[in-house]
Amino acid sequence: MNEIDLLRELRADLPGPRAERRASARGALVARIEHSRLRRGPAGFPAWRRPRPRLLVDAVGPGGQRRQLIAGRRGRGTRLALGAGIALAAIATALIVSAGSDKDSMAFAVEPRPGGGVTIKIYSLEDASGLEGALAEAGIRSQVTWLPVGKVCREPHYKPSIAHLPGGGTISWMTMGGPGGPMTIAVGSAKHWRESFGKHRRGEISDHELANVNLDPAAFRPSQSVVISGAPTPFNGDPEGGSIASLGVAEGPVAPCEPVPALPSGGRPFGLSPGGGPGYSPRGDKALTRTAIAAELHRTAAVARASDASVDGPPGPGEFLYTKTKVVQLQGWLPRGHARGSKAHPRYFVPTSDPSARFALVPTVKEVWTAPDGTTRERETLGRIVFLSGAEQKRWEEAGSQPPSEYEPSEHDVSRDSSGRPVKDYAAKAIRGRREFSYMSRLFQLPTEPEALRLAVEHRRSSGAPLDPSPASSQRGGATVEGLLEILAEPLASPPLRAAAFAALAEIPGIGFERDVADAVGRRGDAIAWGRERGFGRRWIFDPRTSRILAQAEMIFGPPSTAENGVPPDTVFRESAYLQSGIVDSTHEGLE
Amino acid sequence: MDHLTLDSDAISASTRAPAGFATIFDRHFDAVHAYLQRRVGPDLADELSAQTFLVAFDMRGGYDPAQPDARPWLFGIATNLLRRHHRNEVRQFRAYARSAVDPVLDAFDGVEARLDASKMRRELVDALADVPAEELDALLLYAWAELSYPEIACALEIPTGTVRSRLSRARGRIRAALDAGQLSALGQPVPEEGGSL
Repeated sequence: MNEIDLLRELRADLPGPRAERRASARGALVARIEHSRLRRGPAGFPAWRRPRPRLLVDAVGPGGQRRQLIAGRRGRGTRLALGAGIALAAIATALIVSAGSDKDSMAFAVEPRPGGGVTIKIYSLEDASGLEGALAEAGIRSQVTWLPVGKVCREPHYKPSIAHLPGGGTISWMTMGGPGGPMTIAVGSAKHWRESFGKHRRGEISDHELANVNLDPAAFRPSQSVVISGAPTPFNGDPEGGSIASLGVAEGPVAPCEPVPALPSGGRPFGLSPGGGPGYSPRGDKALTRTAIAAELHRTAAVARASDASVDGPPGPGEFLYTKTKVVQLQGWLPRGHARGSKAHPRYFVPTSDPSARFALVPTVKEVWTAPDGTTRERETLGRIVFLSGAEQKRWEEAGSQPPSEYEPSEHDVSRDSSGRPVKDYAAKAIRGRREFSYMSRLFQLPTEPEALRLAVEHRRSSGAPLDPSPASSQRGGATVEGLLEILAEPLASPPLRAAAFAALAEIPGIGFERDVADAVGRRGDAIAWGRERGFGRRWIFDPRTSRILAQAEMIFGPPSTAENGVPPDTVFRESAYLQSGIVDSTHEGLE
Repeated sequence: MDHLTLDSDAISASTRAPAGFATIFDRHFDAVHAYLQRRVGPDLADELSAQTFLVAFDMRGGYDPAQPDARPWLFGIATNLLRRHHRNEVRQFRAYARSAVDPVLDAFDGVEARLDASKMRRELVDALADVPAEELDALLLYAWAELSYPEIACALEIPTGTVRSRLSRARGRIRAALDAGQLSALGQPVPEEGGSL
């Protein structure tokens, strides 16, 4: 036995801190935090004062993932949130605004907002009908539901819609969560909002007095209302120590919320099963017959046809199509001494098939601004690398923790964002691959009849005789399925075009279907999955309520690729989750 | 809460919205406390771990946002706070070696202090008492806090190479002491310190 092992045995397994001592240490810290607030006064207001884009569809779905995605980053989402009136720069901690409170007995409080209007501070949703009354008095119709731990409302129970925010921008829905502090909704006119915003900018009111969301009754059509639901969440050992709430905008009647279990995998790092390995099954639900799958796809086509054309046209001159996508990739990394590439720029992240490679999931958030002429500005922010096991991570750290090497100053404009994450930024020309139908001008010329659309995707013309679709497992069929799905993933695709794409998919044999799967950010949906040659598979997840594509994943589900890449079956090696899209008025500077 | 948020994000956010710093406490208090307790016993650990987070909060403006994990930083602060208690720690090691009762274990209510029958362990703690403070910090951050070399370098604000040399010196001392113990048990002559071992 060596001395380190001997040392590790020494005083091992001591009891943990006594609860009361832990609580008193936390109390001392909270007191210090409170004291620092009094001393510091309102925080300075960073440079978020610019005019805001006129539209941004927030497509981030249930489960509070939004919080994590935009945590601490002065990215687009954060700014949208701030413009919308969300109080703090760090959404991750947005609702930890007051630790401990004498207001525990109060469900909510209505207070006049500095600048006009009212602020409703919600400490709990338990008095749901009282809160609905308070919102109605302020001019907003609502449905409020308080759910037990681990439950969410079965969706859809209303038709999603969009409302303009008094500070500019729009809201479709948002999620908030945290322990303790109140969720605040301010209701008032745009003028009231400007007054309050100005007071904050001048330092007359502090960050934590700003509301989480600002609503203007005048921006709501009579048919629109707000749907709020929330549930306690475990925090700090207390099974109900925190809470999570979501707020959505509804069009038309809202059905009662039917509680169903929340997604158990929510919040777990992408693709990792509880045992630590990648955990996905791309094979489709075998119980579903081809007819049943076709029926599902035709049903979704109907949903698509009836959907709100919330994004109606291509960007005009001076406007840009903005998209934000989270890409998670399984990459190989090399221990020190095995690096590839030049001495000046050694590459430590390599294809997984490299025999000396180990695995890690590398997440990036990719933002793209596309001008009407197809030129783009692209920005990628590197997230935290997820290792498949603690031991792998340790090895990586001991090798010197080299980050993925594609952020090379010689190739891109490389910087760090406000939370220290590497960012690369580049402009690109409108070169799209031949399979990509996403280029805007082309998109608007595509036929909206299913078979004609399929033939257009296949670059074929109808010659009179019927051209039956090839099965998804064939090379041509697989490419057709992907081409149709890429159209569906286009934020600018019109409802009739999307309906035609789903209807065309319904005719293609060999498509697998999976119900209720989660994407890389925890949103749930149904999936179209099919296998390709050499053990590769594809899966596209869509939201059956809205027909929107949530994410697409590529995976290795069997031999010979499992053997060639040295990974277990059902390994997702790349997933793109579509987070946000919309038309904005400027590229980077206007968004900072 | 959300373990997908980086510590560095939570800390930089807390320079604007200080309440978020409580997240750092919730994530790391137990680890910091466990380490301090192993070094100086439960009572002093209660005090020093609370202090660690107060100091960390005051120093959060200087946190290096390139460090996603706050543990090295927190252990660094804890180590600084421990310095004043090194003499005390040495006294406890010596007492343990002499009496075979570990004063740290003895300090727990309800934990029965037992005589430690392992001669080798007593020799180990006796050797630890002779390890200079700065080597001891590196050694115990490695063995007890389970930090990697680069993390220890970050915690102690020294180059990784220095971590390596401190650790190897500390290990050498302990090995020498243990070997000497074994030799003397066999009735062999014990080499003088600085000898050829």
